Amino acid sequence: MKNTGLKEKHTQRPKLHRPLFALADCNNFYASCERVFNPKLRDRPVVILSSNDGCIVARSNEAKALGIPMGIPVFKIRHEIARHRIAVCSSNYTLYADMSNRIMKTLRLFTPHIEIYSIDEAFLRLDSLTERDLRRYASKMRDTVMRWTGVPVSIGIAPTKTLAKLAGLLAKRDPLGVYSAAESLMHANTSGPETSSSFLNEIKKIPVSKIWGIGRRLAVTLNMQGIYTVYDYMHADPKWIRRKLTITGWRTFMELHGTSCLSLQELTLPRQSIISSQSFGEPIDSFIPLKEALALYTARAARKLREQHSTASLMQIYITTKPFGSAPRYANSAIGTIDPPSSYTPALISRASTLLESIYRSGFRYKKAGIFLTGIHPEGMQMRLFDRYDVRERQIMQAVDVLNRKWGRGIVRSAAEGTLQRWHMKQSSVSSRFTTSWDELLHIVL
Amino acid sequence: MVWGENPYVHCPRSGFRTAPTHLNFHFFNEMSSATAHCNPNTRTKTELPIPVLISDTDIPPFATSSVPAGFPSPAEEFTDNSLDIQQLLVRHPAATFFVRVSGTSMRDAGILSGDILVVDRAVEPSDRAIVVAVIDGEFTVKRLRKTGKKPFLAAENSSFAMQTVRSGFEVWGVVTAVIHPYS
Repeated sequence: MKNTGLKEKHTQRPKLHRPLFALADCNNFYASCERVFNPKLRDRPVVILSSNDGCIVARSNEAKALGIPMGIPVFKIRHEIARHRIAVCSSNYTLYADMSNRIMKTLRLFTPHIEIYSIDEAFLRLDSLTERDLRRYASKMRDTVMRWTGVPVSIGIAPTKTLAKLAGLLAKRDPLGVYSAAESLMHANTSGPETSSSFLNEIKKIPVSKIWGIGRRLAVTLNMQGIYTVYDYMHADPKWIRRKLTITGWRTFMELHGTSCLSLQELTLPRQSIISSQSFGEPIDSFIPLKEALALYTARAARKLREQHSTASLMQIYITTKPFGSAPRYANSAIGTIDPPSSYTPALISRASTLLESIYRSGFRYKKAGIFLTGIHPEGMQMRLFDRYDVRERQIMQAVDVLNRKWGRGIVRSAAEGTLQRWHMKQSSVSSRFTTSWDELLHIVL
Repeated sequence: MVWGENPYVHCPRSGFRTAPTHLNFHFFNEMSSATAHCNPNTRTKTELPIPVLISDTDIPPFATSSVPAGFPSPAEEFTDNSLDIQQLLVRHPAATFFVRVSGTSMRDAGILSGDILVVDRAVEPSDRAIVVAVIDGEFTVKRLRKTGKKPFLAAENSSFAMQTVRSGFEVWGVVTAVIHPYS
């Protein structure tokens, strides 16, 4: 690998107002949530199933150590489950979402500058802290989240978000759950580039695919160029990176060298598209139940739209049978406009139903349906001169949303969603909604 | 602002001109106070607003009907939110959990079968605190004692023999209140 002069130029700047990012990442988040309310799971390997009890979507450390791969269909590992007494949980997204909110709320006490990156990760800015206080502060943060919510987090600290992600990986292995690359990098800069700094040694071992923003396919391309580790990437030819990997790869390169290019996204912008889809518990072979399932997913998507005060003007629906197996296969999708743009559930459902009629074929056993809304506009925006924004529709939906929030999802719903809902998700071992339903509180026998 | 001159304001969210928001707010929260706002002489012209169930504060209130100018209520400046039981019982919302109990082993501490406990994980467990603890992977509720060298847990029911747990437990959270429904 050629070492150009560029590296020195970017790493040896005077460090005035250098930003400091921390990545707080929950350890095995779903499994940890289950363990808070079921301590018996603590000394057992735990796996969480996808929303239809199909595949493994999350694993505890013990399950990872047993070599259980991510995404594997659960029937393929039935023997391992029995042999190692692996606890199998259906996913309880209601619980995970509430626990996530609690964790983010707790982190927010430590700094107002926080970007909620995913359900179990957040970036925080800790600029004002000195090197010495940094570790102590991060440990305090970690201990507080652990004590308040019961979920272990690890914290990686670095001058850029990309480096903080890498430090987060190393923090998972740290017994105290905190890893600061900031100190390590400081040292590296004062005592010359080829120093025995621990962070630089560590990243010689981390494969390039672990870099934030570098996907599996790009990693293959990089491997072909002889770039295998993070360290290799940092010392690749900058001109080649700029030419081949465009501005995104270049930004990553700069970030790895300690120049912050990605800032904290403290505001969540309204989503530009909304998806709601699910596999059915049992395959559907007739039109009416399929229409009902699609109506339910449409109602969900419409609720998400209203939550962000938007309307949609384009809708795509799709239906599909099992993509493999001996049964006849069929999949199709249809796109239609929503005119005028709307978030009114009945309007969206009737649009979805007409689209479904156009692609439905009988004689197939459908396994999955979904809806995709896009062309999102802020609600109340008048698109054309004679469009009328219907206040009554909005009031009806507000009342429905309030009732559903107060009395539980689905207490008021469109008749189009059906009443039997036999196709509903299969979830054989789902835990209770301990934190969001009075009827499902943790029960303690004295 | 003089109500008679311009009772409408521009609503940035909907893009419509609506009545001043705090007036609307009264319409939806307190129908009676809304009528009290109106001047009796102009009241006949008032279209009654359609009541909408709004209790969550994150929903922006709005009105469909026009609001005639009248005298503002003298109590307007003094309106306050109604009492919220959550404020009283939950000090750390992120760390507070509710659990339901059955059994009688904590009867003398005022915890009866069917009660709901407010459990705060942010509170430091001190001597004599009632705690939710984990013993062998099972949850229990006991009184924590920290008098001797080692902390221990004690049940509170005089009709039982004194039950204590001296080791192998872990405090999960501190019970800060008991909700006892009479039915």
